[in-house]
This record gives sequence, C-alpha cells and structure tokens, in this order.
Amino acid sequence: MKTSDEELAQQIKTVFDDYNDGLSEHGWSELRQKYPEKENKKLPIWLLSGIAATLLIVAGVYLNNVFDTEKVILRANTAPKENPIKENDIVENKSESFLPSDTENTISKNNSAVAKTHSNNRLNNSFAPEKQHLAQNITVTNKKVEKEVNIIANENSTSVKSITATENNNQIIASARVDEHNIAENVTTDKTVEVVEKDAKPTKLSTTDFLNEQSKILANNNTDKETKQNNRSQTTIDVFTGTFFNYHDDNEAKLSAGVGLNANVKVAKNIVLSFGAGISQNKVSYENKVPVEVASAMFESKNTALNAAPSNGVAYSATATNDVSFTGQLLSIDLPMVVKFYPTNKQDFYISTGINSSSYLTQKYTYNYNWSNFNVKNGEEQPQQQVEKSRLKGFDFANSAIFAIGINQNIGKNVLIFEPYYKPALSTMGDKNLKISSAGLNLKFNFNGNSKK
Amino acid sequence: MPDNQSFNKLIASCKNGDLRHQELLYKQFYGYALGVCIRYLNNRDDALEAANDSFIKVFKSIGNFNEENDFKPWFRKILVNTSLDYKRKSMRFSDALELTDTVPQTIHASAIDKLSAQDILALMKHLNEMQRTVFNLYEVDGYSHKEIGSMLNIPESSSRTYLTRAKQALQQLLTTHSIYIK
Repeated sequence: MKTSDEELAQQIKTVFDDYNDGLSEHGWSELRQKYPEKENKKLPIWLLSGIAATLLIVAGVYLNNVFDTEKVILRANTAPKENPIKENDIVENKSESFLPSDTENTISKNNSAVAKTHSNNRLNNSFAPEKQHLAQNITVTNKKVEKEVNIIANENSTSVKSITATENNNQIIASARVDEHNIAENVTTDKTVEVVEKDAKPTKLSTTDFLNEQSKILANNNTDKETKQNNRSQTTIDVFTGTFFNYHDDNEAKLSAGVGLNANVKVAKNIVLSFGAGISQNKVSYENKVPVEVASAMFESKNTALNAAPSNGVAYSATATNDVSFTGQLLSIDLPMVVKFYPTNKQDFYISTGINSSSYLTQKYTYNYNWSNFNVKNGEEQPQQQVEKSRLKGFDFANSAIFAIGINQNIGKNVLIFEPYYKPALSTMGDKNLKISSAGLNLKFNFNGNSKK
Repeated sequence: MPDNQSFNKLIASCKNGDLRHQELLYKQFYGYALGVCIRYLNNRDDALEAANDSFIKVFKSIGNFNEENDFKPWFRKILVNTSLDYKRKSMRFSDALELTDTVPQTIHASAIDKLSAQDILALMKHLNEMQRTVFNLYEVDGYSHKEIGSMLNIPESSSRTYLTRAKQALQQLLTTHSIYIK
C-alpha cells in the first residue's frame, strides 16, 4: 500500500504532466519576442573590408594623380635651367631625349647656320675679336622654326656651348658641343662660339604648354608600346567586388554586395568577351506590394501549419491575416557573360552588355504578418513570423540583363576599373520566383600588364 | 502525442530551423513544460518565462538531440535546470519560510487522487523553497540526494533533511484538511 507521500507524488506527476492552461498561443507570442534573436545589424566583416579597400584605393589614386601633377609643374619650372642638354647627348641618346627628331635636325642645321653666319660676319670684318653678337632669322624648310640666335665668340674656349632655339613659341634649350673642325671651317679663329637667345627670355614653360609637349612625346612613345601590347596575351583576369541595390517596384531598396572573378578574352580589336563567376548576397524586401506568388505560398504554408497543429480547443475558423510583409535573402553564385566594346583607340573606357545566370547556395524567406482569430483574445491581432530556408537549390538561366560602363584607371601595370551597371530582371530568381532588378557599382582590378584592356 | 515517425519528422524540421515546426513543437509540449516549471516556481508568470527560456534552449541545441532517445526526459532536465537557475537569479531560495499554521482555504478535495493542480500548488506554498524544491526533485522528478546536493550546492545530508521536513509538513497539511488516501 502506498504511503501518502508516494500517493501525493504520483498525483503531482499526473496533474502536472500536462498542465495546459489553454494559453499556448500567448506563450508562443511571448517566446517570439525573444526568439529568434534579431539578426546582427552590423555589416559583415568582408563587406567592411571591401569598403575600406575601395576607399583606400580611390584615395591612393587621387593622391598619386595630385603628386604626379606637382612633379610635372616642378619639372617644367626647373628642368630647362638646371639641365641643359649637350648636343652629343642628344645625338647619342636619342631615345632619352625630350626632343623629337625634327627638333634635333633643326639644332644641327642651326649649328651650321650659326657657323655660316659666323663665317660670313668674319669675312665682312664685323666679327669682334673679343665678343660678338650676331643675330639672324633662320627658316628651316621642313619645319617652320623661327630663330633668333646670338652668337658670342670667346677667345679662351674652342667649343660651342649652347644653342637656344625657339619653335612655335615653345622654347627648347640644348647645350651642344660642336665639332671644332666644323667651326674651324667657317670660323678662322679657334674660339668658343656661344649661342644664346637674343632677348634672354626666361626659359620656364607654362604648365599647359609643357603638358601639351609631353603628350605629343608620350603619344609617339605609346605607339611603339601599343604595338607591343597588341602582341601580348589576349586574355586577362579581373577580380571584382560589387555593391548594389536590389529593388522591386516602389518597395524599399536593399543594399547588397558580391565578389568574384572575370576572364576577358579579346575577340576583335575593340571587342572583348568577358565571363566569370561570383558570389553575391541579394536582399529584397516587399513591404508594400508582396508578389502574388509569394503571398499565396505564405498562406498555403500557414494553412498547412494550422491543419497540422494539435487541437487545443481553439477554432481556426474566422481567422484573418493582415499587414503581410516579406523579405528574401539569397546567397547566389552568379555567372555573368558580357561583351565589352571599346569605342576609342586609347581604350580608356568601355561599354558592355550581356546576361547573368544564377544558382543559389542558400535561400531564406521571412514572412511577417498579423494574425487574428475571433476565438483568441477577442480577435486581437497577433504578430506572426514564418521563415523558410533552403540550401543548394535552383538554377535560373539568364535571369537578368547587364548594361555597364567601365572606366579604366591605370595603377602601375595593372588597371582599376570603375564599372557602374544596371541589371534589369529578365526572369525570376529563387524558389519564390522573385523578379529582382539591381543597380550598383563594380570595382574591378585587372591583373594583366596589358593595361588599357 | 503523435507517433514516432511524425514526431521524428517534427524534430528534424526543428533541427533545420523551421519556425513553423518549432511552433508546433512548442504547442505540443507547452503544457508539460509549464507543469514542470510551475512546480518549482509556484507562479504562472515565472513558470511561463522559465518554460520559454527552456524552449529557446531546446531550439538552439536540438541539433545535439538524438531522436532514438525519448524527448521528454531530455526536455525535463532542461526545464528543471532552467527553473533552478531562475530561482537562483531571483534569489528565491530561502529557508526563512516555515510551515505555517494557516490552513489553505482553497483545498476542497477529500482524497489525494482528487487533488487538482491548484490544490497541490496551494499545499506546496506552505513549504519553504528548499523543502519544495527537494521534494519535487526527489519524489516527483526522481533525482537522487547526491544529484540534488550537487544541483543545489548543498550536502547530501541536508537534502535528506529537507525532504524529511517537507514530508512531515505535507502529512500535517493533509491531516488538517482531512485528505486521505482512498
């Protein structure tokens, strides 16, 4: 026979084994305030790193350009005075010269002209034994170069020290050593002839003029480089990170991000085929206009839940579901394929168009709605949430078109490309057939030395 | 109670984080959880909070649960530990309360097997916290004195003492209310 203690313990087990006060719905609502925990609103570390890297690169490019400009200005101000170029250097090191070959010819001709002038002056007995100033306008036939030359003969020296020439108001200064014998043929005295500019104008160039000059020189040099580049590898690789907004109608746009790799294959002079793979996180939020297929899926799952729920005395008739909102998060593998067209020979920008296909690593759909039943809390609305997840599911071919413009920025041998783009939806994405368009900016880094690709 | 196959499906869905099935599991075991917690906390609001905290622990750690084992014993351990934690946080353990002479006015049953949940809670309110906790742990949930000592951080001998006093107090209350074993 049981003791009273044992009997009481047994009665306690029996009574409390299912202590149902009929308020499980309320209990669940209470629990839902704590669970699941709100997602961390902080941006993922890789996204923060990407943003930081982007800012650093942009700042670096900007500062690099600023310092380069300062160097050019400084060089324009100082180079002509501090670094007179000897003619011998010009002749022997043409590739390093600032002067185009035409100019060098001009200088050589000038030397002859100077010598000739010198000689004529001597014959006319107008050449002073100490220092003489001679001036003559010389026209060179193959290039309109106008000169004013002062020749100063110095008895203590036998070399020509410098020649100053003015070409189309751009001053080019060179110090040249002329063979003594050439001078000797024309000048009977073995004396130094110094050629200086008549008016001794300042040799400083304006920045604009100097840059124009440099551009011409660089254009000539680049002709050879481009020829070499065209013979290089026809394929390059891009690494890219993108930040973009997903949107649908007038619903809230969601910021998303992605990373990936592209291969560029040159198929014609100005046309490149680009394809690759990337991972991107797409977020979409439907607060105002929940797509019909999404809403119907939600109601279907809700009804399934109601049917499967154990009966606890609550009638599920006369239920109402209001204020439905929906968010979708898709972690997708994107497979873009585009054709790039470079409109200019410099190939410093391109226009591209193509298609994007997607497969999905994870899909997460969250429904939020208010549910009310006249038998529960006098029909008071209760916030509800449903979450659906799936992994490694689905492939949507050509779900969006791609329109983009790429702007190239050289960084050493590599190229940084700023590519704003627009991806209108062509078909749907994911299990819920979401039609998502997006617009954003890709930051690409091209690793090939073939820079203006 | 659903059959094993459908229950295992329910557990599997909960392991995948399916909120809809977690809601079903919650409603399935809501009464059981509340019953365990209210025995220790003697208050519905506190019991609901402890029960919900226990469910959250279940949802977070259900990946570790082996479907070949019974769910209830695993869940009961979580419920008991959560309730005891709740007591500790609320500083509810106290030896100050002793059996009073005041007879509960809400007990109407004349036999033990007729005692309702409210009757039992009313009886239990006349035990102090330690006596009630030890009585529940030993007599109802089947823990040993050694386990109880470890859980409550008291010597085994103290656990025995609390149990003896709890039984004496309950016996006195039953006699006072003329509640007998039928």
